[in-house]
Amino acid sequence: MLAPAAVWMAVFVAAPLGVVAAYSFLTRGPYGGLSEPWTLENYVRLADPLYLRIVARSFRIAAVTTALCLLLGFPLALFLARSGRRKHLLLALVILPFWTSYLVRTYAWMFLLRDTGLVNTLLVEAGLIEQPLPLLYNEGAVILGLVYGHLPFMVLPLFAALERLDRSLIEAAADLGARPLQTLFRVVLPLARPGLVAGALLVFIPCLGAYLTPDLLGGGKTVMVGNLIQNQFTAARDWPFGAAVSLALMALVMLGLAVFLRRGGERFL
Amino acid sequence: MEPVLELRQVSKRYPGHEAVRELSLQVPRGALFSLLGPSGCGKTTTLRLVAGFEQPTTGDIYLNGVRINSLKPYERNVSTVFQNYALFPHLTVRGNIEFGLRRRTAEAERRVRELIELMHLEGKEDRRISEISGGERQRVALARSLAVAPEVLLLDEPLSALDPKLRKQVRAELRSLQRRVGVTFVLVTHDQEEALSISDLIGVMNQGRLEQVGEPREVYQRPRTRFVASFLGAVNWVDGVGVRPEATRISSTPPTADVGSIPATVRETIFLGNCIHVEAELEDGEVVVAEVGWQDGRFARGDRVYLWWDRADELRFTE
Repeated sequence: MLAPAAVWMAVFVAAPLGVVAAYSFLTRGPYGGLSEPWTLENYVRLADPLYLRIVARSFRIAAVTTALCLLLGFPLALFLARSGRRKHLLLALVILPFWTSYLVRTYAWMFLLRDTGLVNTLLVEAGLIEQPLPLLYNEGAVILGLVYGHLPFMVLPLFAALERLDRSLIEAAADLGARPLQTLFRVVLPLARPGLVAGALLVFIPCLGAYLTPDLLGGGKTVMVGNLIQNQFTAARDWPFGAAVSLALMALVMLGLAVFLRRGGERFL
Repeated sequence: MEPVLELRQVSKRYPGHEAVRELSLQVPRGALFSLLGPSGCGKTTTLRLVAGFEQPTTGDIYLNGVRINSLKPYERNVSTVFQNYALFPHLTVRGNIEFGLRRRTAEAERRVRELIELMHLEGKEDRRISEISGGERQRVALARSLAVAPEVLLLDEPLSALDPKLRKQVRAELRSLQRRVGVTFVLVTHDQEEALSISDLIGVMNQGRLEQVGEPREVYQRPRTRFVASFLGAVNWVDGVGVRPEATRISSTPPTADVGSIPATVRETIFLGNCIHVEAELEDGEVVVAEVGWQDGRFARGDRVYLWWDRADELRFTE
């Protein structure tokens, strides 16, 4: 029964990864192709402060995005889980943005945020500001776009965890003298932890490798690892280095997950 | 003495349904008070009104003479043992019992230790809730609620989740626990035997109304309504008078003393071990049962007999 899955994994996961891994040990040819000799040079280059800064920035942006998604997603998921018969309709609304391309939605944000965009125009018209605010092409815009795009990935697992939560446990906590905020921290959050962890991983990992959002909303000024990789495969025509960065990023994520699971994280999943 | 808990004219209406209707009752301090009634009679809603999970539509609830209508559940010094126990699955036995204790003082520690001993949970303190038995879960739920030293402990069908074999034993333990800790218990049940066997007072509820409050013997022997009479036990209806089967005697000759009596024909004699049920048909076709000792089981199918009973055992209803 496992054979089809094994074949699928071999063809669509292991083989492409093997190709990328092989590329990462080759040298860039004179015209951007691949050539020998085999080398570790691509990995050594990663230690350059220029690239380390990009990696650090990517982690920071992904972490801030995850934290914001949590802060926004938890109350929303709690509200959805408590919405009785309407909850499935409301849940459908959370998923509705997926029906439109992420690219289109990101462009929509550009129209909202640019100097002559809706937000700035309204603020100027209202006389609240004289000069348009720099809303676009900065790290804030990138984080806004990432939070917007990934919020459903936080809300869905949280909703699933909170919906399973037995109402009588919340009543029991109140009955034993816990105020609503204490109940939240002592009962609801601990029991929603599997959803919390799943949501955080589902947001953090794709954000770490994001390239579309920083490209469009960051205007090329907020370079993340994803942009670096994309750039190596396109403009720079340095496939071996692009392959090395890809593998390094993946290794970092896997290492992080492994440490998390070794420390007993699996019981949250 | 002032009652510890008092409900005055409490009603709870939901759209299209009145769960509790103008219910008034007083629970004396230290009593074990049972709210008894069929499912849907409003007894659990009444308990939830006292706990503060529901708000009365009209009427007032007093705890120690203080009106508590507007207090949140966490502001009321009452505690609930939930029907499914509602123990926190992410905490240990000790973690559950400690939950309601604000500070980790030496006094609090001592209290938790006492409760663990009282509930025979020694050695299980660090187990998770999923790792203990149903009976142990119930004792953890009791300990957790008693830890906050409530004025009134509310128990919602506390025995229903237990194995039927365990039930009789646990209900006796519950009674002795209540006597030992001296806390007022208000217990909800649909099992009349359970209510009769452990209560100081029973309130019988039907369709949102409290039909009668009294000591077990009183509500059983002097039910005020037909509902109370038939909910608490079997009743023979003879000439518009109710007589319990165990108060119904049987003889082959008309009784001479001043007692109630009626002729009947034996239909069936059922041997039940500790007693015999003689089913007899009256002339109007009504079938009644006399619960008699085995020495009175000599009657056979088709025998013409006289059923008789002490006048004092007749159930009379005020309404």
